[in-house]
Amino acid sequence: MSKEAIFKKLSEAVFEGEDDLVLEAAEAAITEGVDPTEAIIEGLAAGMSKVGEYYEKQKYFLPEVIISAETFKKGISVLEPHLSKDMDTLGTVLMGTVQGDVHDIGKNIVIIMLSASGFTVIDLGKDVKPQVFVDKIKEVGKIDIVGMSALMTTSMIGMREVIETLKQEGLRDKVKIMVGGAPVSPRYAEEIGADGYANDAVDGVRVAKKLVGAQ
Amino acid sequence: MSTEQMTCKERVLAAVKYDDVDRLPVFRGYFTPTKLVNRKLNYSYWTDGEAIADSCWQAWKYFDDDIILTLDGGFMTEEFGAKFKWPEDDYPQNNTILVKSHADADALPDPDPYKDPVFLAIMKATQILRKKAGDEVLVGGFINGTFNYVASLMGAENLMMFLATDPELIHKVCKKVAAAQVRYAKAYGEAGIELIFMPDACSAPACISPKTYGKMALPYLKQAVKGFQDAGALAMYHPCGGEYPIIDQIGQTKADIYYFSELVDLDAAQKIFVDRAAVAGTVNGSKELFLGTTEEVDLHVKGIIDKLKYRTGAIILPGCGLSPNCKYENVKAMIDAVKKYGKN
Repeated sequence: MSKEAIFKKLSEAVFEGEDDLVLEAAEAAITEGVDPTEAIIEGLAAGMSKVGEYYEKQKYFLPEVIISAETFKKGISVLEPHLSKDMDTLGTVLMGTVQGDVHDIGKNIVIIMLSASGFTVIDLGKDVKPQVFVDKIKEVGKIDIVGMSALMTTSMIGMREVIETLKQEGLRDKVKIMVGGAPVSPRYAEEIGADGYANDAVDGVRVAKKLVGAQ
Repeated sequence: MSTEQMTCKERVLAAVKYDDVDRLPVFRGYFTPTKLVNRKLNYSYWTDGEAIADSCWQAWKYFDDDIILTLDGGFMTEEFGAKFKWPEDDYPQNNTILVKSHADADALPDPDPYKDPVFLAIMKATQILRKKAGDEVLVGGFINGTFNYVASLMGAENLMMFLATDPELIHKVCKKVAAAQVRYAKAYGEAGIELIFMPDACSAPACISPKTYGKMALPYLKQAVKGFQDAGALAMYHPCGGEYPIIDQIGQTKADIYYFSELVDLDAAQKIFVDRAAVAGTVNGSKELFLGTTEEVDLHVKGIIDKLKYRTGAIILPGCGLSPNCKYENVKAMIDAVKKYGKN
């Protein structure tokens, strides 16, 4: 199978959420000596990118995105052990749903899209206290973007607390801050001093690229 | 007709039927600040019927709007077996995943409203409020939408995944939930409830396709709405999140009131549902009400009302639940604006 045919098969497998097909195509990439980095970018990530486009146009919805993401991860699990060195990353994003909010499906979709677009993402999970963001930044050393989500107006006020805590710890100017979630608006993002607001997961990738100067 | 000739109850009931009203009804929706009665939103509050009734009554007196609504306090889900986190002053949160397989779904119990401590308190509150309210104001309650409960039982992400991989599992859980919704509605009815508010974000187009909605969610939402109406209550359905793609289908639920988020134009919805069901909502809860000034709220509400073709058949309220931290003066500004611009 040609390299191009393998990329096409990987991409289609992700787009259609076909696990067997993605495993077959990923194994073929290894057997045929295709660069695994290239297979991830040109095959798997291209498939997720198409999923993102369909999601944005409301041709795909959350069930389809989640199934495709699972297929994407299966493909990665075959290719990743064969990478000769770490893939270049566009930047490291620290993601979390703020304290008081256990709704994390939106945040998880953003993580999938960011990962598929070349970002390294550290997921702090849901109901994350401000200090946990701070501790992780100190532990990792180099975080480019802090991403926060909230689904409720009751919890979105926690975003401001995270930003205030980052200021108190002298970390605010070392990271860019991106926020999103159903009740969050550009006006709210501006009011709390965030650097970017994302309307949905696909927009999240655009905003993150802009924040790290990749676009 | 001059202003304020009708009681709150008369006004809402007339608006639902597209009859003449003295002014459009207005309602805070899911916003009952317990601070007004010096109580925190904790487990002690949620299991104290008198405290719930008192807070709802005081809030209605304070805001002077047209419906009294008790909140939900997470009832039913714990009776399915979930374990809630009860914050000291916030809404309860569920972090339990109960259903991951058909065996888990088969093992789900049938929640009994008469053994549910939170619901028993809310029923007691409903009875107290009905006595106090008489014929002056409608007393409403809350039952979550079918998919919202299913998401509570299996996790929203699992719900979305199983919709694609194992729809029969979702049907199985939905059947259990819809039957429980009807049982709770019947118990509510015995307590004298007059309106049941059912939000269902997890079946809205922000999550699933219109096709999946029609096949997987709509049959159970119809069953729930019928259960509410059989219990003697008006059914107010809130398909929360990007509602336009399913606006042609939601009418099949035959709810009495369709309550929309700010993403829908209330005037367009009113034209679609005229003489079939009242429409409600659309005041932006996270922008004008949460962040704005009273002047901005006034202008925003005026804009919504000015566009309406009919000065009935619509209830003005926030597009979704409000933060307990929302400024009271903004909520009052919304109510005052409806009284000013919504009169006939």
